[in-house]
Amino acid sequence: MKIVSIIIFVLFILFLQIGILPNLQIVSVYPNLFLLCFVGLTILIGEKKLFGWIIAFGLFLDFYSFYSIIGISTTAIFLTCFLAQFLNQRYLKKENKLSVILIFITSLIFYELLLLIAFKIFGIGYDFYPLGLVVKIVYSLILGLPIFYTMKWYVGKIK
Amino acid sequence: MKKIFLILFILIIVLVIINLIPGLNKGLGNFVYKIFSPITRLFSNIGKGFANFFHVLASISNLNKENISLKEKNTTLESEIITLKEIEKENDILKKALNISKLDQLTIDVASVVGKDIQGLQDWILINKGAKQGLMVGMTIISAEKALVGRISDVSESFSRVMLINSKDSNIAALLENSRVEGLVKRNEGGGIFMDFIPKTEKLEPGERIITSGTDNLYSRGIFIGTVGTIDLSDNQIFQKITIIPTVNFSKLEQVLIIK
Repeated sequence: MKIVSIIIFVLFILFLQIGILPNLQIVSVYPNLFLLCFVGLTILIGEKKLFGWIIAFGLFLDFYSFYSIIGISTTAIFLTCFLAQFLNQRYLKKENKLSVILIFITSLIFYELLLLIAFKIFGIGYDFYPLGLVVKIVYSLILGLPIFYTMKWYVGKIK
Repeated sequence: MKKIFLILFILIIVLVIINLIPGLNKGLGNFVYKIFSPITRLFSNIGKGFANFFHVLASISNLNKENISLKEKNTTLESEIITLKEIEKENDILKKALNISKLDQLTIDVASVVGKDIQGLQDWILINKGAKQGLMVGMTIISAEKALVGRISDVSESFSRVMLINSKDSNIAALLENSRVEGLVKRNEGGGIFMDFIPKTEKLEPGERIITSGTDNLYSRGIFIGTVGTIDLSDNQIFQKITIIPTVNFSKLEQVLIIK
């Protein structure tokens, strides 16, 4: 039952990311729900239980993104989740809305920076512009928070 | 903590190996696409269906106005078609006289759009034809309406990635069809496209067609890009900045043509 609900959840996120969000772009920007889900799950259940999923989805994103170098998204998601977990445990109070918002914002900026650095190193073209990042953060928070609280409700239910 | 760094270290080693083995990266990518492209295509089509439904609902009030304007446009286009048919006949006669066949000029192939950037980072699409079908990096991609879509940037066995004309690295030498003024088409911060390096002395009209000039040796001359939208003549810039209304709706692209 648990695995079925995970598959349904993954398919739902994939559907939102591929089918719905490209039609709802704001200044050519739309959120990266995969990243938000992983950050959210890291806060809720910890990074250790997610290793396999992070690597599997990271590799999927890498192959799907057709980069000439494989592993950029995988490493970036891995490190972002690690940072989210670190912030959650050390500095921010759990189950506090402001903490969740701060972790989401920090993670989004950190992930974009990692990609920017990696793409510069490997010479891959990357559309980075500050306005886009600001819009992406706000847009991601609007979508990410309801998803996070839905996940939190579900995780609480199965615990 | 140590365990995390160990996992990260092993992960990096595995990734380095994948990247070092020639062809493995592209081969695995091709495999992933073969499995996931039907799913992503299905999701994309359902999403488009939703978007179209809401778009129709929102545009009902404008339908009457649009209908009248389209009828007027249709009349103009019909008269243009008659003129063009005459020119085509003349052209055929001249080509026969010069011994040039249409097939010698261009080979066009059709491909379907099977994916796009799902992280929202770059502006590219994925098409279902690759090296196996003779596609190569640099080939021009146009829409069914013969408007410019972009260029092939990566090719795998059965799929190719197309960088769209509104991507950050795209610079297209372009020409205003009537005034014959040349400039460079680039991406603006909002994700749209604009034409740069047009002297302020040039008087332009919104709605004028913009085509490729061919001087960049990337695209052949005469491919339709879009029409002039707004014209910015602000004092704080040397050139006038022209916002372009692209002919292609990149989020709704389903099929494209490849110029080989």
